[in-house]
Parts: sequence; structure tokens; C-alpha cells
Amino acid sequence: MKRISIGKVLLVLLALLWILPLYWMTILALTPNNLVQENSVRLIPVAATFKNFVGVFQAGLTGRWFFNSLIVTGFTTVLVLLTQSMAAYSIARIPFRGKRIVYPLILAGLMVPKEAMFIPLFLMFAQAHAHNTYAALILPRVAIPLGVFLITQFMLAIPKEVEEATQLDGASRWTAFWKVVLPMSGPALTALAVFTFILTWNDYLWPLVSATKKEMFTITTGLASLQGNFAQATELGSLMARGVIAALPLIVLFLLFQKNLVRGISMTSGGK
Amino acid sequence: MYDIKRLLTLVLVGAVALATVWAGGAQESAKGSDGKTVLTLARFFGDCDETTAGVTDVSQATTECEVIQILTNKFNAENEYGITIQRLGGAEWGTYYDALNTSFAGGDPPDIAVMHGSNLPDYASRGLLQSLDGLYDDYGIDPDDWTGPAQDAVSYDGKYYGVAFDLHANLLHINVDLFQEAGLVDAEGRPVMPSSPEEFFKQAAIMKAKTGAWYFAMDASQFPVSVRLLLSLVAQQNSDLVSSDGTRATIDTPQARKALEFMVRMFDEGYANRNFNYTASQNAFLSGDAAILLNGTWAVDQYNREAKFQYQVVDFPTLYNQPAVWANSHLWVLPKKQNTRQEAAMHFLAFLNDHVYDWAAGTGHIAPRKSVLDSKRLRDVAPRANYAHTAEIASMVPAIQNWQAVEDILKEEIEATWLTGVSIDKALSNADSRVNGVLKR
Amino acid sequence: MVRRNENLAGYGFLSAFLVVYLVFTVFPVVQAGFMSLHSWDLLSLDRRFVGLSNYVEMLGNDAAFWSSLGNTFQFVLISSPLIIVVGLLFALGVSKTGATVVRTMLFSPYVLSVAVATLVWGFLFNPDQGLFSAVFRVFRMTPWSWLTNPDLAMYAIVITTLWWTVGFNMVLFIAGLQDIDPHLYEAAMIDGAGRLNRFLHVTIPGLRRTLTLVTILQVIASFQIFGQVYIMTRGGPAGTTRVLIQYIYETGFRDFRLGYASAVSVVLFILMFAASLIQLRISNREESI
Repeated sequence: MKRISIGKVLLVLLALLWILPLYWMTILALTPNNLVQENSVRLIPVAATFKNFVGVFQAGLTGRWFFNSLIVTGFTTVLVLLTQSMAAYSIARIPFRGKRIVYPLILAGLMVPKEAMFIPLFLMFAQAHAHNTYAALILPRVAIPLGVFLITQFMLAIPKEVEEATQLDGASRWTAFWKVVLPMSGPALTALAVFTFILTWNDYLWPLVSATKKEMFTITTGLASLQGNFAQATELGSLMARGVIAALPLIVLFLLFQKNLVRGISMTSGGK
Repeated sequence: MYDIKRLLTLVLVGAVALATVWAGGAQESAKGSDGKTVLTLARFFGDCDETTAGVTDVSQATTECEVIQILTNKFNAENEYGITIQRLGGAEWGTYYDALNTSFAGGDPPDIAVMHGSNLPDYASRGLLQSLDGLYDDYGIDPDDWTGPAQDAVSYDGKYYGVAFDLHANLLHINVDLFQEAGLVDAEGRPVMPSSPEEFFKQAAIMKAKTGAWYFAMDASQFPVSVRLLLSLVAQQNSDLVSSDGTRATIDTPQARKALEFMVRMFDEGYANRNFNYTASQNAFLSGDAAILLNGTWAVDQYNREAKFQYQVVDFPTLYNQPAVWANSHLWVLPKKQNTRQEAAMHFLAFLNDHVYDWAAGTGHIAPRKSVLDSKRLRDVAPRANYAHTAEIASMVPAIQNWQAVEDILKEEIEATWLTGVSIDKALSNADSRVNGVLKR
Repeated sequence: MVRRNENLAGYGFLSAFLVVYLVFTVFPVVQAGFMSLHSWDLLSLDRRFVGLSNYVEMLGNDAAFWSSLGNTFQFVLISSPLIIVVGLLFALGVSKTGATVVRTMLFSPYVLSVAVATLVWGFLFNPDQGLFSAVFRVFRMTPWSWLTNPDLAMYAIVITTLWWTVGFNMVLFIAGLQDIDPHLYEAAMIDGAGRLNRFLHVTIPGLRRTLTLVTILQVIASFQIFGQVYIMTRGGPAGTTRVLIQYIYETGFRDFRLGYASAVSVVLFILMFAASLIQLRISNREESI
């Protein structure tokens, strides 16, 4: 029988403490709004009810909002993974002219404060009459170079020998990329996919001003629209329920993908 | 060469995918498929489709959202002009103006929008709103029926720009049980309100001694409730925070000083909790830990329903020379735009004007029309009669541009006196110079 | 290797991203830079060329700009090392014990939207209703009022941000730990190196690229903090937590001064760029890309 280490125990305790706020959030979500108004310090549910959750699903377009979020987030994630990993490959592996300028130029894109770029971006789409479209919600996010930076750093760690071996066999750059380097970047790609999905899903301000027609809301803006004034004070339970509903798909996503974070075989084993 | 082919295929596939996705958005339509005129409406007040879908009987409404949504449904169902009002946007309150401003910046504002009276000057001064001068008659709107403050709220620079929907002001929400327990009642057991600062503090001391409860609860840190209190107290001393022509700050004055000293004393002597935010102050009141809650007209029905003690609401008391209390307003405006459907929009505004009774009865806000305000019908809706007088003592926010910036500065400077220990003199003079900086723009 | 082919291949792989990037990131930035030289009204889009006077006003005559800058620096300096180190510790702990459930639990706050995360912590910190105050009362102490106390408010925001975002760093470190050759650990153990030595001489060097990545991203993210502050304290109490992005948002959206807001953004951008360049230079000293 394996002895359970103190480290593991401490870690589990830490994890439990860490999700305590989330647990509290769920309790509030299960409590009727008027009870929450009097007293929000509770760790044990009182008069548990699903009313707050039901209310969200009864709102006519919740299903449509979920669908919109799935489309926007799904397409964004795929496009980011594809285009930015390709860009990262070229920066990490291809000695092309002008790289010394192009790479910092791309990195600089991370430092652009979104709130300031808002209006020029908005005007651009307004002139193209492209608001209230999926494209307006997808493209600006694909342009954020988080993936390029992330994947570049990870690809730099892949030993050159592995790739050079493939090329000696006469394979093209594309094959080297697609069949060798990309699979070896599994954990990094998984991380990028998870982050992109979460960040796009929770995006609020841009979808708010771009997708103004109800049918085009994402789940995030849609749920926010259900709030009345002073919602924190008068309908905290409902607020929390909406938060839980919006977060659940993301937790599921993480659970599904996280095993790819850990690579089964080390990269350098089986080699020289 | 093999590379490039694969690359190109990929790009093409991606482009096709994007194209389908591009087309997948909602389409613009000014005319619905059945020939109806569709107008876009932007408003806050929340979203409550699940309880109002298909409902046109406004007596079923229990919240702000439900009243306005049911009224909109009713108009859509019953109007004889073939107009459908389509609600835009899902902004929760904090971001309504962001979304609205962005739509103005993009050159495509909604056909009809709601806004606060305090924000009207920013839009009217830039010529972004249609002037409604001379139009009212054609649609059965009587501007003379509006109360003085309501008329002021919808005008700018001598022209009318909107249709008033309500006035909302601060009231005192009272826990009668606590007042009785402290003995601060008259012969019939009704709570007695203070009529001077000295009486205020006397009562507060008695309340603390006899019941241990906070005498006065208010949100002192989250929303600009403290600024509203300051405005009320300054107005009661026949003064103002901004000069009447809107060019100078008049914050560093003896009247403002007195008001601010009053507020600081309230916190320092333990009669009010300086750390309360909106939720905490309301919780304290509803759970019986505070005798008075300073809040607005919107909460009246909620407290009436939910208070487990005897609840009463009264006008904000006159503590200085004359009665006055902070008030703001909601009004409907018509942004200027291409293809404006002014006629159709005015029909909707007239409809709303006809239904201000429903709004006042359903939400607790103060009706802007004298005929409705004085009507027995509205006064019979409990407890509206208790604070009908507020309509007359309402002191509107200065009608200047950039009021939001001024309010934020005021809030930041005065709350420093009870949150970070800044002296009253410094707070007032800082506020004065900073606000002057804003007014000069 | 024919040079021309490499250039073609390089730009070929880059092209799809580069097009989107130039249109939707670079162009708006250039436009914002252009706006910063104007007095540009948000609502009416009236504009007037004013040269550098926005910058002059900001740097010479705007106390709120400097206090926002100071608050931002304070936040960056306090939060960045903390969130990086804790992220690393979590990753090490999780990797060692291989507990995937624990990994999910530690990561889970990251899936919340900023509105919900700050809502929850806003309540936790509440001196009357929050869970923390309950703990204080158990020990018979007066509960702290975190969000209205100028000495505590910034720390409240740091703690909230740590809870909410450390999962990001943790995941990156977990991915980075994968790439360290386990043979190196074996070799070190054979050489008699203890735990700490193995950590310092195998793990840390092995994580060098990941550390650079995490540090740069963390610093950039900290410079751009906005949501937590705006929702929890609105920059209060009395402006002691107002950060630069909030200031940009206020000047642009509340005061309608797009040109001025753009100018402040440009300054913020330059600061972040400088900080990142320095970090990149330090870490990539021996590397050439």
C-alpha cells in the first residue's frame, strides 16, 4: 500500500480551499433571491431551489445564444490554432529575411490595450456594414497574437535534429510542420486552445457593441442582458446561476482536453 | 511547390468557411416581411422576456423591466399604424451608455432611446437628437402637463428634445418598528422626521442607545449616493454646486462645507456605516439593523413587499432652509439618423406618454405629468401618496455637459474625507478646481 | 538551402495570420496613434489636429494620469512575481503528484468571466456579509473593510486576480515541465544532487523559455488590468486604485475625448513594449531566433 504523502494531502486541502468561492457561488445560485437579500453568508444551502436556473433557460433565446457562442468560439479557436501555429513555425524554424522586424512587430500586438483600439475597430466594421455578424466577432480575436508568442516559445524547445532528420528524407517544410513539429507541440497547442476558447467565450465588451441584435448575442452578453438594475443587490441568486451556466461548458472543455497537457512520451526519448 | 499548393488549399477552405460564417449574421431590415415598419429601441431596465412574452396587460407587471416590456408588447399588438418596436442591445446598466455612444460613433444609432435627464446635454449639445419643438401637438402630447422639473429635464438650450417618462429621487425608507422602539414617534406612533441637523443627531444618538441599530444607512462607497446627498443638502441651503450658467464650480462654499461636515459627522459618530456599499446598506435595512435607508423611488415596491417589519417611505426631510432633494429623470429621445421614421417614432413616444400612470404605478418612480401625479388613481397606489410631495421639491442635477465626469470627481473627492482621512477643506478645494477644469472644456 | 525558397516558405506560413493581424490589429493601432494627435470627440466625431498637445497635457498637467500610472505600476510589481511564483508552485505540485482532479480545481477559476469572479470576491471581502468577515468575528476581531480601505484595496484586487488567473500560468508551466528530459533528473540524482539542487540546476534552466513566456505575458496582462478594478472598487476608495486602462476608458467613453484617450494608450503601449523588450533581451541573450 502506498503511503499518502503529506504533500499530496496539503495539495488536496489547497485545492478544496481554492474552489471554496465557487462552491459558495453555487450555493447562492441555488438560493431564492429574496433569501439571499437578507443574508448572503451561507455555506449550507437553505431552501434550495432551481428557480434561478430555470429562469435562465426560460429566457427565450438562451439556446440561440449558446449556439452563437459555440460558433464564434469554435471558429476562433480553430483559426487561431491553425494560423498562429503556422506563423510560430515560420518564426521558430525558418530563417527568412525580415524576421528580426516581423517578430517584435507581432509581439507588439499583445501590448495593444483593447479598450483604446475599440473605436477604430468598431468604425471599420461599421463602414463595411459588418456588425451583427459572426465574422465581426471572430476576426478581431484571431488577430491577437497570443498563440504566435506561446507556440514560438515552445517550438524553439523542440530539438532541431528531429526535424532535420525528416528533411534529409526529402520531405517538404509543410510535411515537417504538419507531421512532426505540430504533433510534438501537443501540450502547447492544448494550452492555447483552452485559453483561446475561454477568453473568446467570456469576451464581453466587443460582442456587446458589435452584436446588438438579440439573435446575435453570445451567451455572455445574453445572460448579462437579463439583469435588472442593482442586480447584485436584488437578484444575486439569479446572477450567480447565470455565472454557473456560462462557466459549465468551459469546465467540461477543460476536463476533456487537459490530458493532452501531459505528454505520454518525452520528446527526446527514442532518439539519439 | 507541394507546400504552396497545400497552403493555398487551406487558405481557400478557410475563406469559404469564413464566407458562410459572414453571411450567418442577422440581417438589417427596416421593413418587416409583412410590410410593417420596424423601429429599433435601445433601453436599459433589464430583460424579462420569459415573463412578458405575449403579455399585454400591464397590471401583471411587477418590475421596471416588465412594465416597459409589456407596454412595448401592447403597442406592438394594438397600434393602428403597423409599427413594430424591436428592442436592441442587451446592455446591463453599467454598459448601456457605452453601447449607445458606440452606436452614435458608428453613425447608426437606434430610432428611439431612453436616457437620463442628466445625460441629455451631452447629446443635445452635439446636435445628435431630433428636436421635438412643435411636434407635440400633432401627437397629443401636452408639454404644459409636465411638472417644472420634468420640462427642464427634456429641454436643452430652450428646445425640447424628448418625452419625459419619470422623475426619480431619493426618499427615506423607514423601519417603523425601530423608530417605535426608540420612542422617536408622535402621539399616534408615527415616526417623527428631524427638521434640522441638530435634531438629526439627537435622534441618531437615541436610536443608537435604545436599539443599537444604525440610524442612517446609505451606500457610501459604490454608487454616487453620497454625491446625491450632498446635492440635496446644498440645495436645501439655497445653493448649488455649479453656477447657474454652468461655467464655474461653486463647490468651495460655506453651504457645501456645512453639508460635508454633516456627512462626515454622521460617519464619525457612528450613526452611519462609512463602509457600506449598495448591497450592504440594503441588507442592513431589510434585516432590521438600520432604522433609515437612503435610497430611491425604485425600491419602494420591493421594500413594501419584502420588509418583515412595518415599512414606511417618506419625502427626504428638510434639514436646512428649504425643502429639496436630488432627482434625476428618465426620458425618451429620437436620435438623428438617416432614414429617420419620425412619425412612427413619435406615435410610440405619445403612447408612452399616455401610459406614464402605468410606469409610476408599476415602479414607484414619480410621474412627470401633473394630471397623473394629482390623480386619485395614482395616489391610491400605496404608498405613492406618502411621497407625492417629492415631485415638488425635486432638485435636478445641473444641466451641464460632462455631468458624469463632474459627478465622478465629486464622489472621489468627498468620499476621501470619510475613507482616506482627507480634510474637508482640501476635499472641497480639490473638487472645485478639478470640476472647473472639466467645465472649461 | 536556397535562400529564396526559405523566404517564400517563411512568409507563406506567416501569411494567413499576418493578413488578419495587419487588418485588425495593426491598422486600428495606427489609427489610434493618428487620433492621439487630434482632439477627437467620441460622439460627434468632430476632430481637430492638435499635434502633441494631448501628450503635453498628459505629462505636464494631469495629476490623475500620474496617479493612475503609479497605481498600475504598484499593481504590476506586487502581482506579477506573486502570480508567477504561485503558478510555478502549483504546476510543480500537480506534476509531482499527478492529480488531475486537483489540476482542474486549481484551474477552474479561470473559466469564470471577470464579472462573475469579481462579484464573488466583492462579496467575500464585504465587512458585514462576506465569508472573510465571518472568520474575523470568530477570532473576535473587527472585520477589515478591504474595498473601502485605501491600504487594503489594492491587495484585495491582487488576491482576486491571483485566484482568478493563476491557472493560466500553472497550465503553461505544466506544459513546460513536459519538455524537460527526465534523463537529466536521473543524471543529477546519480551525481548525488538533492531535491533543491535538482530543482535549481535541472528544472529552472529547463523551464527557461517557459519562464520567459510566462513572465512577459504576466507583466503585459498586469499592465492592462481593468475589469477587476472597475467592478470591485471603480478605482476607489477615492481614486487610490484607479489604473491606467480605467483612466483611458474614462477619458474616452465618459469624457468623450477619444484623442486624449488614444494618447494615453500610446504611452501605455510604449511602456509595455519597453518592459517586454528588456525581458526578451535578458532571457534570449544566448539565443538568436
